[in-house]
Amino acid sequence: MTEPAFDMSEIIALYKEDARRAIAEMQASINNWTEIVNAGQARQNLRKLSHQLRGSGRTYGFHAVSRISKAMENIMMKLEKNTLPAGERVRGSIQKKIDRLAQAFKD
Amino acid sequence: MAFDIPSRSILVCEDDPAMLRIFQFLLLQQGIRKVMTTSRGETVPEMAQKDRPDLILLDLMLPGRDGIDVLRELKSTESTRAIPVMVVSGKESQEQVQQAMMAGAIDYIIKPFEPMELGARIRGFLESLGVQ
Repeated sequence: MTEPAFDMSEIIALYKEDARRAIAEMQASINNWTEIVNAGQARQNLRKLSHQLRGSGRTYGFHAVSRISKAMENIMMKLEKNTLPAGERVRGSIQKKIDRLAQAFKD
Repeated sequence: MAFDIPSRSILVCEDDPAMLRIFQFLLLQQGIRKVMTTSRGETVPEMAQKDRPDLILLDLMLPGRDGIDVLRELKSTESTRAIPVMVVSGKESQEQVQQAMMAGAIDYIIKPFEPMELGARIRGFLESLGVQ
């Protein structure tokens, strides 16, 4: 007989609300692209939010959310290290990831 | 000291509300009733001195003050030196793990983690306190 898994259903609904809020903040940050380019607050926010969603996603059972967020965090780290130019291609890639995250939490 | 999980207390320092909620959930599942929380690293040393928790769960990437810095202060202060600290962080490089262990952490758990595994590790640690 296997041990029953934790029943996390009661906190998963709350997590979805947290995640939707975080994704809305991500969208607000990328809308402020100038601050992303100039290493401003929006860039810090996007890095922090992608880091947090990477950590919480899989922990709550949302493995795809962790994967997408990890890819976004990697981009943000490259921007910080100046190993990736903050151009339109990068912006498009980040936007696509935010859209996929939003899709994951769509009812 | 007899093994008594409900009387144990844990201080959790985590700035992500979603992760904080899962820690509280896991600790309650393990029967731990006294859970203190903070989202800011700079408040940990004072809370640790005042509340004397049996265990501290510490994130590293925190607003205000870096987790490693907090850990070093805890370990260099006479009154908090003996309080065990488990680092739970999304920073996954070997360098980060080594840095935390060198600073005095008893364990390093990388986020994302499996909730059941973390719960079991915390319980196992608390049980070990009861057999010393």
